[in-house]
Amino acid sequence: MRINCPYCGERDLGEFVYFGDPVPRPDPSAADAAQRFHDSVYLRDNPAGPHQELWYHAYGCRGWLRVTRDTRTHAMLGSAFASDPA
Amino acid sequence: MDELAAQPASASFVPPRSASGDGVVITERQNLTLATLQTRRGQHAALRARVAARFHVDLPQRPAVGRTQSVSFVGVGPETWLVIAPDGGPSFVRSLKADVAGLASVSDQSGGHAIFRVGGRAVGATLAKLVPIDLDPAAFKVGDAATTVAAHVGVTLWRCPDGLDGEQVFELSVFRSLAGSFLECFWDSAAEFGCRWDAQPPRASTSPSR
Repeated sequence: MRINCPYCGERDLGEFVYFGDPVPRPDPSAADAAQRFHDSVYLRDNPAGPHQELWYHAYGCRGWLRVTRDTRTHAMLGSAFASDPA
Repeated sequence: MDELAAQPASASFVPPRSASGDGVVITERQNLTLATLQTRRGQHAALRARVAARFHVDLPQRPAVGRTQSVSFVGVGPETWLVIAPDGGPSFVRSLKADVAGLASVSDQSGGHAIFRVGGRAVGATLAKLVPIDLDPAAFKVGDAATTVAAHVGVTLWRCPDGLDGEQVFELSVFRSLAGSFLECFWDSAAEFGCRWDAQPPRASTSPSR
């Protein structure tokens, strides 16, 4: 699998670290924060098809990427820096 | 930083005799002043203008080298550069900080990185064993740069003007504490072609980087 980094270009999977879905961090001050974090960490969708995910380009530009990948084919459908507007 | 930078990172490396030959030539660039330069939020255009006025070079906006007679800027990430000043001396980082005050952060890396220059007829075949990117002359042009990994060691490399022998020349920057591991792996990869430690960098045919 190869990931297209907006800065470095197409690179081998081994240069990247997977972080998970780009879901908002739960509010730690909420009364049910523990449950919210549990849901956020463990109750993830596992779609068959296009999926948005965060990857860290650890061995390259050290940027965080938001990648859209088809989980059935590993086809890369798009990538951008996570700091860019979605 | 200055104390470390004054000593070669390769000082304790003993080249294996079994690899003798001259398919690949390697040397360490020494007495370099190094720094990282990172733009402050919202100051991109102002920094480019300041660097252009001060150094007469465009900061590369992609993985590439912007080079003058006295200083090189290697793009290593978005709005981040490795600055190399061969004859900068210890005052270079201070003056660079002053030049870009308010626009960018500057961090002295003179003792943090080791930079090796490699060339020879088999340099491409050697690096092909080490880095997972395409360094074919058609794909990776003179002045192109890349930050990637070589045998688990993070490297930033860039292509210099070809040597007098007409072969490709690259420079590779590795974290200084990993220089020994990198050299062992590089030497093993070059062994089948023969590898020679050169006291002097192979001279580039045009506009050498120092």
